[in-house]
Amino acid sequence: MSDTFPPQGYVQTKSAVSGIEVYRPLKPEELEAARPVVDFRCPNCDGATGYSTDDGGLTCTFCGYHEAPEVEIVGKGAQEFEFTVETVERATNGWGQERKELVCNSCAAHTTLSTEMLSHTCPFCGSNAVVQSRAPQDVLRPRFLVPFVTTTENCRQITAEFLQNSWMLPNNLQNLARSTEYTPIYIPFWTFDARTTASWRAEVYNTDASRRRHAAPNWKWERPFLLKLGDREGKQWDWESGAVSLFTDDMLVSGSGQISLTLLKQLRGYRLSELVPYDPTFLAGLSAQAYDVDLESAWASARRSMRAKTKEACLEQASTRTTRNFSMNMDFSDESWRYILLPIYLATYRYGDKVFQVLINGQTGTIAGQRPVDWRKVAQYLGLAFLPGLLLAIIAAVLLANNLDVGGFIMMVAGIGLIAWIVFAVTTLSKAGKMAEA
Amino acid sequence: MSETSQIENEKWIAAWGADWVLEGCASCNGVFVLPPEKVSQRCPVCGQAALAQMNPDDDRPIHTQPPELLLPFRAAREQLQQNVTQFAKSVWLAPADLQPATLLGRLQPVYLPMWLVDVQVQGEWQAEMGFDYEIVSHREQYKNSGWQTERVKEGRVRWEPRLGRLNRAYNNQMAPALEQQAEVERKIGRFQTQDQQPCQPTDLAGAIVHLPNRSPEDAWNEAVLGLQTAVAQECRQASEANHARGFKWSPSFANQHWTQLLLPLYTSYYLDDDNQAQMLLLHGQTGQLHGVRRASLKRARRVAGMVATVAAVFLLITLLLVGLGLTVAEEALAWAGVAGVLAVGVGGTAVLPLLYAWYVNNAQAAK
Repeated sequence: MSDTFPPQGYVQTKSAVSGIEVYRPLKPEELEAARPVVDFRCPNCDGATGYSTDDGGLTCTFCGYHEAPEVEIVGKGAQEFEFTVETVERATNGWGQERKELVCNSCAAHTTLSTEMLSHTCPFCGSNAVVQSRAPQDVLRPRFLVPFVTTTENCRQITAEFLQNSWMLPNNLQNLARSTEYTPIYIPFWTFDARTTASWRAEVYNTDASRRRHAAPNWKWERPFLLKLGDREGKQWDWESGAVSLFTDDMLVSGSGQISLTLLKQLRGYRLSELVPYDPTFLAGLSAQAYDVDLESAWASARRSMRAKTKEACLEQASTRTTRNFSMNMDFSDESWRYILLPIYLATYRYGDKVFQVLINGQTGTIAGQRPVDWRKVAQYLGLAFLPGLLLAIIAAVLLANNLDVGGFIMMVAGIGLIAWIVFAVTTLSKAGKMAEA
Repeated sequence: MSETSQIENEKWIAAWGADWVLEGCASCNGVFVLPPEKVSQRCPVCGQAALAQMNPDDDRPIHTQPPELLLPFRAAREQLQQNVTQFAKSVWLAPADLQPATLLGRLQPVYLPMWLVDVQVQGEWQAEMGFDYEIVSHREQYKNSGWQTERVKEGRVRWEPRLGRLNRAYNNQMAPALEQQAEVERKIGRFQTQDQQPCQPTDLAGAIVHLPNRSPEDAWNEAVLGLQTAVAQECRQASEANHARGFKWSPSFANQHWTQLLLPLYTSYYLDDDNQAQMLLLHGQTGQLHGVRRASLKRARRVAGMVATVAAVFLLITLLLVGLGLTVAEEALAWAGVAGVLAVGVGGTAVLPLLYAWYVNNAQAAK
């Protein structure tokens, strides 16, 4: 028994029997809720401080005062939660510090900001039409996050390279890289773990060779036996069955419906081994998006991916890939989830009358985004590439008209050039299309 | 518990009622208070020796005060008869004395003592409490190019630490007043103490009362164990938990008050081949019976002898038919063969009663 009663971290709770007092440990969310609302003020000048992406501490934007970070990396050991209704309900609300939520009138994105910040521009669409709304109280609290490592200066370099690494881009884009504002924002993600255990059965189209391949170590296949079972060529549909058990660790599903999934997929590669417990310090001066894809929807999406993966593993067990009447029973077990925040730099820039979005992984610096294609430039380049072939064809036609045999050879060269041009044109247009639509 | 000095100084047995006698058993060391008409009987508990009268002043028992409470005999007479008859009929080759009527005639109501302690418990406790909860899982089936999803629920237990303080009175916690208490309850089941009522001398009429052979001080450790179980259970209820484990406490006790409660028991006995009494215990509330089943080797020998005689007759017939077959009629040899087989067969079964009796008696001895 402890010397002091109750021990630290315990709080009295309801007792159903008179004469018996009951104490329970404080829940993690209660411990955090017990902390006062954090006001990130500089102890030197009382100015607002913000999270520094350079070294992960708090830096005063007025006097430069810097407070070293206290980071405890929990990585993949970060607590995971079971799929209970109670757990979801128990998860606490709020962000641990006073924050306000802004809603974009243009794209309806919800962004939470600290009270010191007055956001003028929606980081998702670049619109200034944002209104302040009451912070929602029904959101789960993020428990872990990956802190920013990439700095805004790095972002500029990465973007500049990104915007000048293709001849299809307009020439003046590099200037945009210098003037673009980078908004560091934490994007909500769900991580899911689960074991899938499946048993499958299917008719598999087997050939003589595939049977021998899968019949090891018994190699005593005899022709009469095969002929008896199958057709004259030794091919037939055989029933096969098997079992698969797969564990999926930390499958990431975006909790944000505002960012293009295609772009997010390109940004993957987060090192979850660097997860740290959520602390309001990490969000000081930064934006964070509350999830708008809820746990249930995200888990349904993760389950779809897991069962597709498991089905693929089942099909790999079949002796050939040609199957029919495939059936499979699958159980999920050891399911757990986490709600985490991942760092992203968002930049939107306007080129002409279109808005383009660029995302940079705040941890690894990987960039993904849409880029405007200078279609006039592309047409010029394609036209220029077509000219030599056209000239050769004209020359060949003239020579052939004068009954000179060399004209035939030149015509053949022009034909090969035309085929090469078509390949080049298709590749270029495809690349350009992807670039614009990314 | 406190004995009044008045009783200490006077003849304590007078407090039990007029003419009650103190007797003891030399075999099991049991001490009994019984009405005069029951004196010098066989010991109602072990049945091994006749009770010998004791001098209340010289052979003073460890606890002499009359009991405060008792549990009345509730088992119906028909229930007792049925159980006793069933028991007597369950043994083949039973001793001659193992008859339902004999057993019922020897039924003796006996009261066994038990301590009840009231105590105020204070202290701290800690335990791991288990809360049932359900998780939602999924089961998927792929058939005809489509997925079917089934949502399933699984029950789990979440263990959480709890601790607390306790200041609560616990009444009527049981503690054994007899060394044999646990053994008796193991044989015939526990007693339901909710039925208790104040003990009046008239309630004891016709019954023999076993006096405690354990003092409250001696029984206190067992009472604490019972209290710990009760407190753990209540702490679980207080925490609104479904399970508890790893219960620890640091209690202090005050205001102990001890009461003697009498538990109702019927005893009976039958005599085996060696004239040894084999005891039957019947729960005074439920009628549940426990007794040692012994077969009679004497009866087994007698039955075996009769079977052997029949076999001998067949043997004699066999020999006669053999003689007849060899001298007069050869066809008599076939009948001699049949008679010989019967002689061997019947002779072989003669050992069965002996084997049965030996097996039953050894199996009971092993228990």
